[in-house]
Amino acid sequence: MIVTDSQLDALKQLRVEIEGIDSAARNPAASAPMEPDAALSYSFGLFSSVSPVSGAEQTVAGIVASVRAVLAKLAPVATIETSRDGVTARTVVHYTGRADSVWSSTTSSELASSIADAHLHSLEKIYALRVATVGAIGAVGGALASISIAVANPLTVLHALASAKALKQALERLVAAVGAAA
Amino acid sequence: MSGSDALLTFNGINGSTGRYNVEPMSTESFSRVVLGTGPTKPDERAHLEELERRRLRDTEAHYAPREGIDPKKLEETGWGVIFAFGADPAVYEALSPLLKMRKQQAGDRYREYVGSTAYRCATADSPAESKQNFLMRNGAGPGPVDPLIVPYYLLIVGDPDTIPFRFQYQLDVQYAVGRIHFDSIADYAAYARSVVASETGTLALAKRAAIFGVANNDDAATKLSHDELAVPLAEWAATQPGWTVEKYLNDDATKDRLVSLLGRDAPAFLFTASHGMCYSNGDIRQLAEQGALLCQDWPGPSYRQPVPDSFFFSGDDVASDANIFGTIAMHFACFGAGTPQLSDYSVSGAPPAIAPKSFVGRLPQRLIAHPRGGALAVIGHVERAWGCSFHWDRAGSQTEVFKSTIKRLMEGHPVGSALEYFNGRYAELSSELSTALEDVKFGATVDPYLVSGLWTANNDARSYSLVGDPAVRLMLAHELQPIHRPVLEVISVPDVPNSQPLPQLPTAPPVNAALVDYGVIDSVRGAAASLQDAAQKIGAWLADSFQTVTSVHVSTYVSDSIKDVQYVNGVLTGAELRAVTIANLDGNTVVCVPEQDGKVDDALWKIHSDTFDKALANRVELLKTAASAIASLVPGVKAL
Repeated sequence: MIVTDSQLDALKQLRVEIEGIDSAARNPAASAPMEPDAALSYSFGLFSSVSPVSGAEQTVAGIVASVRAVLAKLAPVATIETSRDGVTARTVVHYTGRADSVWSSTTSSELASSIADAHLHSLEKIYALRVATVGAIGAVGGALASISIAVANPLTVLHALASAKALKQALERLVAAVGAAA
Repeated sequence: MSGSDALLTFNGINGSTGRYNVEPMSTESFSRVVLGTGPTKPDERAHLEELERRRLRDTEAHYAPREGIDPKKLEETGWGVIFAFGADPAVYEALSPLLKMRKQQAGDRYREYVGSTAYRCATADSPAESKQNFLMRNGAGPGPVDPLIVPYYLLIVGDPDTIPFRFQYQLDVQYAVGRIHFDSIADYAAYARSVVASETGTLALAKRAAIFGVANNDDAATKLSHDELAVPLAEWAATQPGWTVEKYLNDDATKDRLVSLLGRDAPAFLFTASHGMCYSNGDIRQLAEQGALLCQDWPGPSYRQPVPDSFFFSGDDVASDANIFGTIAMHFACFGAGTPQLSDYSVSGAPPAIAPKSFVGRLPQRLIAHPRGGALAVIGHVERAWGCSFHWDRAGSQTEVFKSTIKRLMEGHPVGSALEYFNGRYAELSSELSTALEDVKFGATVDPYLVSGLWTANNDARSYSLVGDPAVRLMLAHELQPIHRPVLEVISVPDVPNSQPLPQLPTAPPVNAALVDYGVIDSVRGAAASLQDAAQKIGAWLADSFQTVTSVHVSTYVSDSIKDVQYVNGVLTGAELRAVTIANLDGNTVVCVPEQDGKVDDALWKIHSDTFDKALANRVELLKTAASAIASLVPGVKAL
């Protein structure tokens, strides 16, 4: 498994985005300008021919399915392998706190140092990816909690549904990101 | 369980750890636990006497209420409903179509135990009413049922915290008892509507049964239930005249299969044998997922990790368009019907709490309250299910109780009457166990395997419970009658708050008047709950991140040929272990330093130390991230 910087950046960006949705759900007045759909729904939605709440069930179903998908795609174990000049190092990482590494016994100290740096760098990225993933999932949990409360309030229900739509889209990207990293 | 020398393996898998809920133990160890038991409370002694009367009655006569009464005819057996004193009037109202129909069917043998005749739940001053006291207040004593006094079929309405499971077990010895409890008024209404529609409408099911038997890899418990329960039942059921039996055994018993089976066109009768999911007391998933059916997808006991929901079938997996109207299901699985707050398997001192409150399983609730027409009843287990339900040492597979029950169901008996075989077995085992324990008390030497077997079998037999009305039955198409399973139109019933809530009952969430006025509530009512469920799933997953972290464990190996190194069951084979560092959360640390030619192997040690540092740093970062995320899910911590 190889983790790229762009994968890490994408997850961090998603986390920020989801935290923004969470914040918007909690403070509808402050965030209304950044979500024109929500503002429109809030003003006219109840009386429009296409009610803004009509798609709520599909949106929520999509969110629930994405949450399941994200959690299901999280691999409990990752394996990284680094090879250089015919020498290989392999580490199996369990995210419950265990790591087993195997190194070539014929490695010279100079080569060992070189391959060790590269291998440990990869290991560091694997760990960073997991932290970023947990951070993004945690942000989803926070956003869900905020939206579920806001949706029960008649004054914020439409805004909450707009936030739910945004969350659904972000979650779809999170599912893809986690799937790609698995 | 198998062989007296073997370890006893118990049903039930802890979803948080992926391990057995009760670790396997030897027969000797288990029997020592059992020999400390005995009825100590007055109501338990009275119950034992009742069981002995029941056993004598069963050995001398047949399973039925008073002689001469046909359990298939409600006008003879009677039918009654038991509410708790002060129960929510809205529940009564929601059930009124069902009550009206049963009143017409049972005539003068119809009873409503409400108001002064209702069940008296526990208060600060008095314990919950026993079965004997309840019957005495209502004019009945021990012995065969006289339906002119108290009807044979009794439906308990209420949660098991208010009307305890123990009352249900005890009442079930003489009577045919079922229970319903839902979180919403709409679910009560949906269930009542399904039962009424099944008996007054056009429902005519094909004589089709499905046997779903899981046998997880290297798992003694499900191997036993597969080989000695599911397979024999499938073979026997296939011989029943007119019945088509589908077998989903071993590798076919996957979650996808069950989803499909209950989604497109459920069989009239479904039997499953599997582990039930268990969770630690108070686990965020316990109320929703305890008793969910662990399918073949679980790789077996070597999979010592949190169990993902893709491995089990829970209430959440019952599709909104599921086609299950009229089905009766029977689940052999731990907690398949419900969970008591206190363990039924405590043998000394106060029984430990295994849940924050007693509750009916979410899966049977969802199945029977399906708004498009639900299952009519679910037979399951309260507490843990045991192999001795169908396996007896030296005698092997014992499935007669199951077969007799299923045969009655297939012949159109009301489900409460069909379950009498389980009650008879309970009475027989209780009396034998009581005698054995009495012998031990007076110094007799008793075969420990016999005693432990009797004890578990007794508790096991007692705990088969019915979720649903005990008078429902399979509505099967007669010869030449077209098979028809209608889809009921979904109706909307507003959840109104309890007008006079009992102090000990949780109150329904207040209806938001503004939402009702706007008419928006129907569209968003379910949204908040679904979102909260999803947030809970994430919370549970995050909580697991804590629960599974007990140490950071880094091992470093060397090998001459890395390509030949295999990673099998957590161990690297074909490599030499040179360094280990284990840091436990309690501060204990174990370090094994590599040496070469009598000196510390500095090069390898540096690699190992650097790897450990990275693992530890990640662990700290991960816990901080998870803790921060969990905090954001806890009401009150998050500013809204």
